[in-house]
Amino acid sequence: MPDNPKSPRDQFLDELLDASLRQYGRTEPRIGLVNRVLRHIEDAPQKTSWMTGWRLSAVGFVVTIVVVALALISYPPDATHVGPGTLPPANTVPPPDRTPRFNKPIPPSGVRPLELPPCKPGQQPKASAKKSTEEAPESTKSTTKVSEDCVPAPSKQPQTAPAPHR
Amino acid sequence: MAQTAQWMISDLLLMAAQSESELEALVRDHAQLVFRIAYSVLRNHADAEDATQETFLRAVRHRGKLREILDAKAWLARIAWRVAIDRKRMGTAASLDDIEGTEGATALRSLRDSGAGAEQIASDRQMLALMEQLIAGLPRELREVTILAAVEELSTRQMSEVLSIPEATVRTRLFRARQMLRDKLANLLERADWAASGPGGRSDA
Repeated sequence: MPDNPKSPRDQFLDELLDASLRQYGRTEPRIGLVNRVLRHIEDAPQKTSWMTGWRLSAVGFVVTIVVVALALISYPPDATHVGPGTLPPANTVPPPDRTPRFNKPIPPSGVRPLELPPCKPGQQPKASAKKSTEEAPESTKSTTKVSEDCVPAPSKQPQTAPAPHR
Repeated sequence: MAQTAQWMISDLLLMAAQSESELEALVRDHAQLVFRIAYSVLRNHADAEDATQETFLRAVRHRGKLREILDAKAWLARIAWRVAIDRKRMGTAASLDDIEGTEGATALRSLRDSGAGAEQIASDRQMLALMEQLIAGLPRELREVTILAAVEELSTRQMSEVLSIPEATVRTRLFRARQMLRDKLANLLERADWAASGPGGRSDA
């Protein structure tokens, strides 16, 4: 026999609470839930594969961008290379010709002479032109060509020994 | 060589068929439980069905684990619980003190006066709404065990697996939740009695 018997009111409250909790959890799904779930599961792989393909494409695109960016950073294009469509600005000075000229002997003075083109017929070397300008009257000074220098053309006679370069 | 390949293919097909039948059996056996758990949380048929679909989709994604799982029912219940909780953040529940429940209490009083039993009163629509309000007003940890217990298909051990808490904690929380609900119901009944008897005094002792 219980020590503390419940009053009718307490008993009613307990019964009501139990019944209400049962009622709270009692619910029935609409008919055909199992079939709907199974159909949904069957349809799902198609959606998943589409999503996978879409994601793969996006990932592939991003990877391509990153690889190209890394390649550009690691191997920048040659700065001296001028493309067909790019012209240097008009006011830029062309770079000096740094091609080594090993075919010319170095004179004893150690100073490599300038390579000058052979004089054309009727053209005089700069040194002689300078002398002639000094000797010439003032009126003819402006007509003398001094801007283009040249070396005397070599004679056509065969030489046994190389002539010293001036 | 070709025969070996044929055997391998037939084995694979057999495994796939077994997996399909296992999956179908899983859905047939537990769809109702999953739905009821989802409904207990969401309180809406359409949302509960969506949650049920999502629960089984998640189960399909992890079907490799199915043979390692000892209690498929608890495993599915846990997934269903998480899906439903994700769908409805329960932090917006009203405080228990805020619930007036006047309509429900009045209906309760009239049903009791008409001689209706507890079961009959509990199945009343207004009483059900009152109960939903009372459960929604419980603290979160007490509300969770009450909802799961109301489904009536899970043991205490399975409930502890779903909520990732010890079994003893489940029992303690259930007891506390029940006490709170009972007290609140008693208060509502007293209020209804007082309202029926008028400001002059109570109608019954």
